[in-house]
Amino acid sequence: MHYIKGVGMTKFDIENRNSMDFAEDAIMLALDDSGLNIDDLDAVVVANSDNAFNPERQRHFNSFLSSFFRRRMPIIRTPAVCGGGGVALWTALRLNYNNMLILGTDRLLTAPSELVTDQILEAADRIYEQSEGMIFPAQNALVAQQHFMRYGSNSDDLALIALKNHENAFLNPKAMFYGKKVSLEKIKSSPVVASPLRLFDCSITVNGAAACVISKDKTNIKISGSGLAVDYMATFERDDMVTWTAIKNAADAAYKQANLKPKDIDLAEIHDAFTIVELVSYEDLGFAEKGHGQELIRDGTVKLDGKLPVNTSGGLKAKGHPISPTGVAQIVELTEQLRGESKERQVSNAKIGLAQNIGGAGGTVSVHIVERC
Amino acid sequence: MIMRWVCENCKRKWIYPVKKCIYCKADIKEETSRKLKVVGFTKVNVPSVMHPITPYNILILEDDNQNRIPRKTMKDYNIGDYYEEMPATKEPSVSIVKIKYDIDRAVEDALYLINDLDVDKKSKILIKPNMMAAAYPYLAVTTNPKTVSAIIKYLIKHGAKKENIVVAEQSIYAPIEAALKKTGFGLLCKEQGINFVDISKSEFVEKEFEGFKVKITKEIFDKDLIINVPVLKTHLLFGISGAFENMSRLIASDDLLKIEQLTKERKIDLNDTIVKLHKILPKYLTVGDGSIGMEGNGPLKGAPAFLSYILASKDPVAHDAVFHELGLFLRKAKYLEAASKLDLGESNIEKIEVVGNEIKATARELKPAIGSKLMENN
Repeated sequence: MHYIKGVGMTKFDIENRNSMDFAEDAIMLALDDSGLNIDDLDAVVVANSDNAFNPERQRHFNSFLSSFFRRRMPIIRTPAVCGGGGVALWTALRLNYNNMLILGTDRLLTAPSELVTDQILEAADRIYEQSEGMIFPAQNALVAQQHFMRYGSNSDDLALIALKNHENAFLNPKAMFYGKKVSLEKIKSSPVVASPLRLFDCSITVNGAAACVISKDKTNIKISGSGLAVDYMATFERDDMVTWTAIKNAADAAYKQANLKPKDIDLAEIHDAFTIVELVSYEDLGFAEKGHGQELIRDGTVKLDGKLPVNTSGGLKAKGHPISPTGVAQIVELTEQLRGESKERQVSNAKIGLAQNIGGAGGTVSVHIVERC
Repeated sequence: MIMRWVCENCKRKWIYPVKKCIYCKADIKEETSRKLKVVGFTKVNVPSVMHPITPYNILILEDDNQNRIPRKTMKDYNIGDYYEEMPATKEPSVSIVKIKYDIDRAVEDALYLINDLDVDKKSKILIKPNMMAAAYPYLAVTTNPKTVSAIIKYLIKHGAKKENIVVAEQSIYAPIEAALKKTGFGLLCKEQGINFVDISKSEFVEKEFEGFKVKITKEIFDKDLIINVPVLKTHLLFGISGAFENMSRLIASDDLLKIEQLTKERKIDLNDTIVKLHKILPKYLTVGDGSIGMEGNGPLKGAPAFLSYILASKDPVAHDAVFHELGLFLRKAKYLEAASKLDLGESNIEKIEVVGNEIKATARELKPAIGSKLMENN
């Protein structure tokens, strides 16, 4: 069993610092929070994406980290595009070390949006999806369309998800949209990116880093469940475009290990790269029956004061999505919530949290459950 | 068209070719379907490097076996509509087919879409690839031998005899033996039992058009079908290197050198010369090899462009005009309009029937050939 000993993250925003600069801040915050020193670490698992437009040209990132730490301990890198942070944690939990640092750091905003969009597109199938213009908003727009047609969900439901996450981010000093009001009207009138998804259905790309220190030494937060699942890359090839099997499989593994059910979860950080992903995740994580996910946003269940608050941090939507750090930042949020440190956005009596991190359009999914003990 | 690779025994399917079933080791058969139904639709308004023209639509197409593929199009469709790519209904036509792993299938499809080739066991056929230098195929300086291999397979499947097919080319920048070895054409001809003709050692016949006198290889004048297979590239002098440029190496090498010299001395315009050359060439079919392609400082010093498409046309001007549009080049190659004026083909893109993939749904910006100081030193 591993426990969370310390967490830290930078603010997610458009600041144009290099990846290591972000990483240093997150690492030092996490180490300070843990009470450990660099010398106490036995290993590091890092998630960092290969960004061709990034001027750093620093692909051998684990060795680069060794230079930073001035240590020659094992450091491994776990790239899984947007799901890299969650995969890093999943990997670390399977290593037989006592104290480990999990780090996600990325600097994606270094070029015009056409280039960034193209860079992210590389996470899709090359021959069938990339060549046919299946940028990620398009992939998820097609999922939304299918969900709308089959289950009667609609764009208003997605707008409510966006609004909820913006309201939460408004209260989160680490969020891109901290202190920035976004109205439902603004969300609904934002330009269509890929029909039916609008700009405010899409997460915002940012730069940043997040880190956590885990240990076999007991703390008051344990990682009780950890699941990872992989699915076919091409979404069109799956049996059902609106069921993301990897989410179900990763969640099943995590619930089983934690000996918990979806109803036991007090709050969740969900990978809302697009609002429709959050909606589909309500279902595939077991919070709602298939086809009924929209009811959770309509009746307020997933709002900050609801029965199951989702994305209290603001989520990828409004806290921001810097790719690899996202999965680690979810753990930062849950840890702070379980410790009761989340101030204005504190969920009362939060004991069990779930983090779900996705790479690609459901290609790689990790689910982690953390509990206050 | 939807393609699946299916195990003949356990019926497992793949969206890409596998050599044998990875479960039961049984043979794999190809499953294709052309009549498809639209089951998903999204209009995309965000440009990206690979897809700069917006808005565009993505369809999810499904066949009777519930196999699906995404398809980019500039046209609007509704869910439930049928979608089928049909062969051209008029000339000039150009087919654009994106390669989905299988070059053989892409070439076959490109030729099907221009209403196939009329060949039989007596047809004498000459294939003219680009083998201008001794360069490895991955550099896209020369035609990809896999594209020519696909054409040969197509011809034999449609009734042609391999003994009646020749591959003909001359190498300008290297001894022919070296070029044959590096480009892969030596091995291709050996493996497929196809004769190779070194044009530089062939017999020539003198031809003339409006004062332009030149020796052309005799090889092309007794053939029933000539298939020009240029590698699609950028070109410092022409802007693009497509059907027209590739046929210039049918000229005797001493004449080629003379033309080069006169061009350097600015006594002739190369664009003019290449158009005149086409007035004395027999008609030919073009299969544009965009399996890799080149952008930047072509035809020799550019970078692989990873175009991943095949073009086919019976009109070389239309072929090159379409390639020009696909690269979103700012300046139109000068020879295109001149060639059109001399009735060599159609350069007006509006008058060309494009079949298969649409131009705007396939086009992306290719870096033009503008030269550099590095080239002067090398």
